[in-house]
Amino acid sequence: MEAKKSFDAIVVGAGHNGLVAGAYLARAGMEVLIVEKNDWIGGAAVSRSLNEGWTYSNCSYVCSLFRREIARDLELPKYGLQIIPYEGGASFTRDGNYLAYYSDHYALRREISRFSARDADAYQRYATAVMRQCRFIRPFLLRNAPDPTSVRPRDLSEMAFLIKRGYELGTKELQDTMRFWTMSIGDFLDEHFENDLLKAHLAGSGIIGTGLGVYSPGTAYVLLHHYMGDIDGGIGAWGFARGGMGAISEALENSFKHHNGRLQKGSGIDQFIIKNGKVKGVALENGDEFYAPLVISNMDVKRTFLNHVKTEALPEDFKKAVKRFKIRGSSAKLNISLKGFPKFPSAPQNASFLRGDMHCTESLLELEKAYDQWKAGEWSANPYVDMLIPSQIDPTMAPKGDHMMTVFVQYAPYELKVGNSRSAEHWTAERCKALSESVLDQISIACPNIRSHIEHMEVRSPLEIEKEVGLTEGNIFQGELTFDQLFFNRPIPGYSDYSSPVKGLYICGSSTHPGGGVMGAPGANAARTILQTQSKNMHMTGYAS
Amino acid sequence: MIDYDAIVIGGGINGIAAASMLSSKGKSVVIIEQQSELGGMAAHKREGPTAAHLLWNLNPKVIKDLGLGSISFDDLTSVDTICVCESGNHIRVKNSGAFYLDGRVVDTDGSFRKLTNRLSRYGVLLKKLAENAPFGTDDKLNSTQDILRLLRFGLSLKLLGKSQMRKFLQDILMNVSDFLLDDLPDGPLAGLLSADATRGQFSGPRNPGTVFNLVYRYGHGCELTRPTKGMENFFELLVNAIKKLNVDVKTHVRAEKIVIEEDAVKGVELADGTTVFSNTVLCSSGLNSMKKMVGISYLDIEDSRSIKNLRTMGTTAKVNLKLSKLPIFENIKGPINDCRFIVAPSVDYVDNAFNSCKYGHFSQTPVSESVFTFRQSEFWLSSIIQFVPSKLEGGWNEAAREHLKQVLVHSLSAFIPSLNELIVDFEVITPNDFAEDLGVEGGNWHHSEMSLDQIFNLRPTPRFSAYRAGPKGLYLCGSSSHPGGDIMGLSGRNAAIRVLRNTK
Ligand SMILES: Cc1cc2nc3c(=O)[nH]c(=O)nc-3n(C[C@H](O)[C@H](O)[C@H](O)COP(=O)(O)OP(=O)(O)OC[C@H]3O[C@@H](n4cnc5c(N)ncnc54)[C@H](O)[C@@H]3O)c2cc1C
Ligand SMILES: Cc1cc2nc3c(=O)[nH]c(=O)nc-3n(C[C@H](O)[C@H](O)[C@H](O)COP(=O)(O)OP(=O)(O)OC[C@H]3O[C@@H](n4cnc5c(N)ncnc54)[C@H](O)[C@@H]3O)c2cc1C
Ligand SMILES: Cc1cc2nc3c(=O)[nH]c(=O)nc-3n(C[C@H](O)[C@H](O)[C@H](O)COP(=O)(O)OP(=O)(O)OC[C@H]3O[C@@H](n4cnc5c(N)ncnc54)[C@H](O)[C@@H]3O)c2cc1C
Repeated sequence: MEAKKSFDAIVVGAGHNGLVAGAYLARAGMEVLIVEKNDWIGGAAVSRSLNEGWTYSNCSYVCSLFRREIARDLELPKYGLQIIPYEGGASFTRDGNYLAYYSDHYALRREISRFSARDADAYQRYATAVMRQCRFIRPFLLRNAPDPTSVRPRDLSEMAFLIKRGYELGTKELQDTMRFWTMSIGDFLDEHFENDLLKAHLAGSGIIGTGLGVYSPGTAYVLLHHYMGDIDGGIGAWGFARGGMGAISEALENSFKHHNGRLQKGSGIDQFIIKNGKVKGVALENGDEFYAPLVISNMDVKRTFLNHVKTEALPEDFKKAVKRFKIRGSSAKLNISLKGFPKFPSAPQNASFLRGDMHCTESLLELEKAYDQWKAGEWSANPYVDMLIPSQIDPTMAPKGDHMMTVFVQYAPYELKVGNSRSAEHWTAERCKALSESVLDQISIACPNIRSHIEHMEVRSPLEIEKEVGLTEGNIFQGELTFDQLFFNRPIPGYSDYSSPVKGLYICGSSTHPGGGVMGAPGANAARTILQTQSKNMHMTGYAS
Repeated sequence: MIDYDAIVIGGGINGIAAASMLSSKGKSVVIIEQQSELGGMAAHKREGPTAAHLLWNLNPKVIKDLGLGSISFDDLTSVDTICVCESGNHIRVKNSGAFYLDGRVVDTDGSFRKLTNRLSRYGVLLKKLAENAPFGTDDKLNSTQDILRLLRFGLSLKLLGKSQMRKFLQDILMNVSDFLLDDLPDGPLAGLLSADATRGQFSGPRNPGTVFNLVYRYGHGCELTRPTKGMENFFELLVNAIKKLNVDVKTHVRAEKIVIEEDAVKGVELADGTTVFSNTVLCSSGLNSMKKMVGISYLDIEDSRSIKNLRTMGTTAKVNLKLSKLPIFENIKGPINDCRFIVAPSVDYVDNAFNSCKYGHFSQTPVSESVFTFRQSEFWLSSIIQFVPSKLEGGWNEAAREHLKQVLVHSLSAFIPSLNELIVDFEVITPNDFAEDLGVEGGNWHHSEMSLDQIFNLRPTPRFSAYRAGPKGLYLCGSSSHPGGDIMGLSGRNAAIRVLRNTK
């Protein structure tokens, strides 16, 4: 039987955003094909078993940002998705102390007063301020960003919405909001707190995944980017996807296939087929060609336009703007199979916070120094680690009695400096090993015996993440979350509506508004835009419409 | 009982601008200045030349208010920039053209010129915003005027054209390092612009928002001048002008306390024990000194907290080197004092220098801007050093000062090999010295950091952005208010306009 070659739409890349976009389009009645270069799906939302018996969330590892509207529209729980919230976390110190973080307000207050009574009071103000910003921003996530230079009705109405929301805040709150958006997380925390450990604990979320330091303006927003999600309405709460982050992608795949979507794995695209300024389909690396009048790329904006579109097809200005888009690798990751459960000597037995996110950084200056090393092309000698042992809550991740540990590492540069040269090629196996040693040293602050429990370890340098997932430079957000690259500037001024200069070619990855993380919003927004503008008789239905 | 319609505390450029505006509209005004002369931070001096040595943004409207009209512009000399390079291939920047000293063109593809043109285009836009109070701070009565202004600004953005407007809305939020290196190779020209962007700031070229600072610096069209007869003479001109406008000036006396009754300003108590009475006080000191003069019981608790949280770290020191004779530069044509010398060979270099400052040190490879000054029969080389923290680890003792001077001399010796032998005397004025002498917390160039979270409506704090603070009749008119520092005078002028409107 001759395989089908023509579709209504093709999505390139089965990252979670590609899957979301594909699933919405399929639901609306389109015949959709998703092509994925790897033999597995999910992009950076993936679970793989590299060591028998253990499952790793190889890239992303905790969930909160995923929009519940999308989960409901696509019926993900029905297709197997379960998110299990975890509570609390801790930062350990070199002298054997720790600061625990509880989601219970009173417990947290008590814990903070152990370090500073003043900070315990301030936390109230801090939480209110952050929560207010979360409330403000959330309605924008599932809407397009308006192009301020345009007078199209679509843009004007989005602009009106923005102005209305701003106006509703009132002058004072609007000013507070503007201030928050342009501040550094370090300054924001310094305004509230005096205790270094508490500040270091909270600051982590402001730098995860970005090439910025805790005192760089704009990092307060990055913190928000990590807090604006929710689990079952608990704003700011995080959880594990049962079965690893790949479970999200799997549920999406099931939902997509249920509506007759087709998925083709194992060969990436070589080129978008473009004729007379219009997209006609895709040509794969294995020689296959598929055709559709609509092609949606889940790859980041640089990869999409600089690697897979013939350069003649794009205007010079656009290409230049794409080249200017900043995608900087700044993170690495370890995934560890643990034999047994390692001891955390300073923590009480069975402390609840061991089931949350743990860190070993004691001050903001330590974080700033880690950033300075990254700027100089080195990985941080004392990196910020965000480590969790999800197998305590989710038993599917490791054999009984054993555990899986995920360690996110900030900062590691993409172009490593060796001698006088900076290049990604310097990420050899030995240097990855050396990186992992620095990280294990850091973990040893909390867990001195960690090394003796390691059964298997996956070390992921920025280069390696780039090669496997296709994230340029291994940047986890498909592009820096600095304010010059957010909202109507994301990814390229004038193209914040998921379109491109090539007719019919769209992008839906995290390079687009509202940005990175396992959120699904870019995919849903792209699908909505496409259905609104490209099809007369098909509509997006559901909460995200 | 009222002595004056308004009292202005502080006689820096902004105090002068505010007083002249008020006085030209018929108000009786007195300036109270603790130093022996007017001029404030810019004119601050010990033995050597003044702190400020160049005019970036002097606003024509301020000059006009002073009744100086066009004459003062004959008194300005335009200044070229020499980028000092270790290799000896120094570069001269003149009217946004860049040349090696032997005359060869550096900027062969014109990208530097294009970039500076873009900056001056943006500067024109921002200048319009600088010449008025920030949007949305108008009282109800005038809000239609405010909306009109907003529309007019929107229109001027639109007039840039679609693609330029998009570019502007992105560029203005960027960090200066990315902004420059997108179009220029990393080298002395990029280094120069990144140094100009961060001078006076506690932020490095990689900090988002620093493009705004660069545009601010080039706000009046990349034109750089110095007063032909020196900075002291320039301020003399200003002082004579306000005296002509019948502004009273009391120097050498500190304002100790702002007298408040029933939550309204009644006057100012001076250090000599006298009190000057007025229902309107404009204060151009730093906000922390203002807070002390008002007393925290008269400030809202939220305002006290905002003032405490204001970022005011000072990062600029002045080092004046007295020379036995002028060094001879064979390659430099024209008078040597019509040039400024910039040591900032690359963006990376500037960023490195900033790094030390974050941890309470100054860099061993400092970024500096130097000019030669002739006074009477003396020769001075006067340098502004960037990224010198007011909170120096170990404190600012004699050894630290000596060290800072040595570090500077070493970095200049690529350009003037014999410098060390020429020095007969030197003085180091640290950010702390400025803070102590002037009542400006941290000795910050702009009184408070010019970062995106402390500009426009957020300057100096969200609640004070209408130039009003605390009790009735108290106004802020120093650099910590919108638009900010430099020898510009707009903060003072805008504040005075607000006073005139409110007391009509
Ligand atoms: C180490 C790491 C940790 C993270 N941790 C978290 C976390 O804890 N929580 C969180 O919310 N987010 C986290 N993130 C961020 C989040 O995972 C990503 O932002 C998000 O998954 C990106 O999704 P996407 O669909 O936009 O793109 P991607 O996941 O990058 O999807 C792109 C897809 O395109 C495919 N592709 C690439 N090239 C081709 C080609 N030529 N042809 C066909 N297909 C191609 C790729 O294989 C991939 O499947 C993490 C990211 C990383 C890297
Ligand atoms: C930084 C951050 C991290 C979070 N981490 C987690 C997490 O790990 N797990 C999780 O499940 N949830 C987490 N949350 C979510 C949080 O616990 C609640 O879900 C959130 O407060 C929502 O409540 P609300 O919308 O009703 O807010 P509101 O009830 O409107 O809360 C507003 C204010 O009330 C305060 N407040 C809330 N409860 C009390 C109380 N019992 N007594 C006194 N004051 C109170 C809050 O601190 C805040 O200042 C986090 C929130 C933030 C801001
Ligand atoms: C080292 C250095 C070099 C600089 N170089 C330049 C340059 O080359 N070009 C340029 O454009 N800008 C330069 N600047 C910046 C410029 O000097 C300032 O931005 C500007 O002078 C600020 O003016 P102002 O009127 O707002 O405040 P100030 O000049 O600080 O005036 C405040 C005045 O208030 C007085 N005062 C405070 N409290 C009291 C009190 N209680 N009683 C009485 N009086 C009081 C102070 O004595 C002072 O005179 C430089 C700054 C520094 C630190």
